[in-house]
Amino acid sequence: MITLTNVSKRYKGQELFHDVNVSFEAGKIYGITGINGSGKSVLFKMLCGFVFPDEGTIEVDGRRLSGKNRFPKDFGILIERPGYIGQLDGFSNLKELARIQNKIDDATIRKAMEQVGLAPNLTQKVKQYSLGMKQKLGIAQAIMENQQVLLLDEPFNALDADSVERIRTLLVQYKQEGRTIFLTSHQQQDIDLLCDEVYHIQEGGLNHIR
Amino acid sequence: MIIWTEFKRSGTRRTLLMALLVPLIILLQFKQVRTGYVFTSWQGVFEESAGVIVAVAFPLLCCLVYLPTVAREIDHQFIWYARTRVALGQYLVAKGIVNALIVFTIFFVTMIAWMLFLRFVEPNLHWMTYEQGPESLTTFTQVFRTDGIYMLVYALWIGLNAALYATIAYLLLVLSGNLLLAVGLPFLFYHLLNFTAGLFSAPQFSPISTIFPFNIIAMPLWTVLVPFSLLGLFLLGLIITGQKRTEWEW
Repeated sequence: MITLTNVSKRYKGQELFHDVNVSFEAGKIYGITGINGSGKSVLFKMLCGFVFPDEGTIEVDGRRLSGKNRFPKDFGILIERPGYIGQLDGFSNLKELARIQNKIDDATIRKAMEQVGLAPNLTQKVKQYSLGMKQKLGIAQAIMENQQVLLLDEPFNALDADSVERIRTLLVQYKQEGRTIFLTSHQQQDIDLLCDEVYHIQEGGLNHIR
Repeated sequence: MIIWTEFKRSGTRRTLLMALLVPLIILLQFKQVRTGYVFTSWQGVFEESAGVIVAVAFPLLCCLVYLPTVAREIDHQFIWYARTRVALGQYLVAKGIVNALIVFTIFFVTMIAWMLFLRFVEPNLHWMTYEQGPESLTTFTQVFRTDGIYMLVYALWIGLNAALYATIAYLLLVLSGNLLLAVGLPFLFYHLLNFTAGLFSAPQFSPISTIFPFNIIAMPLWTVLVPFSLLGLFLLGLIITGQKRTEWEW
């Protein structure tokens, strides 16, 4: 359960959220919509502890995100754009991230790559990847450690039709497994097809529209 | 744990190549001074081979070992995705420690190995011809008269300074996200202070003469601590600035 209580946030001089109160239950897919610059990415950054609310609190499973407990555990994120080390191949990039926690083995990394439609043995450097391949790599790092909450900001960007279908299927499967997924998409179809609940960011509020 | 992980991650071909750059410069310089120079002791050869190009490019050499790797992580937002796996503070501190230790080790090992070579190996190879002459003392050799102690203390001194410059550059990179600024500012500081010290006829306080005190007459040992302390204060300021920052976005 993720709870925002009286959350207000100004970001780069603009008030994006004002006194927002909302709770998100586990095991659902939540769609977050709003015009460009409305604060979708900032909301995701607040949820994963990258930025703090100016006022109010955010709790994840009853634990308030604050200085000492800043980063919630088990969050997989893809915000704004995928991150990578251009000189390494895809597998090595994921391996570098996996080494930090050392929770998964090489086979699990390969499986995550296959799940998103990337060939684990591809030796091509990531800087030479197409936008779609980089996006898939970003999704792979978000899911490879069996993260229970996924924050996916425009996950279908630059993906071809087959890949979109593959990722949609994967997200539905994860929901059935009980994971919580937040996603934004500029394609209304993605939101309509996948999301159990939809929130729209407008004029500082997070309005429940479905 | 995270420090050990970062150590393993730092073992790239690029780091190794950069680690070889300092000894390579010294060897090339040694090749130059082997002929046409007159030396009275192995320390003289050491000073001429290790204290010219390395001295001028010192801050640059310190910054280029590991910093570009960190810059790449920032540039391509790799660090964002590391943040969900480890607290950012821990990650940045681990990288800072790895950076400082790698740079310290490179300079310490290179310097001490080169001194050992010149003191114990070279006399058997007879590459150099030493002539009789008055002993020329420097700030360090006047105090540390035993070869072994001098080698250890001086290599430690170089290593510490290298780690200090590398850490300042690392913090500048982390705080600004700009590699050019992070590498350029320590280099500029180093040479501006050299110029200013020269201008005020106080070369004993110039960074180059305190780290490589070979081109000036022997000065009291405390003088070498002046620019070092200045840099230490600057480093402290950067650490405090970093600790006060609550939101990191590059």
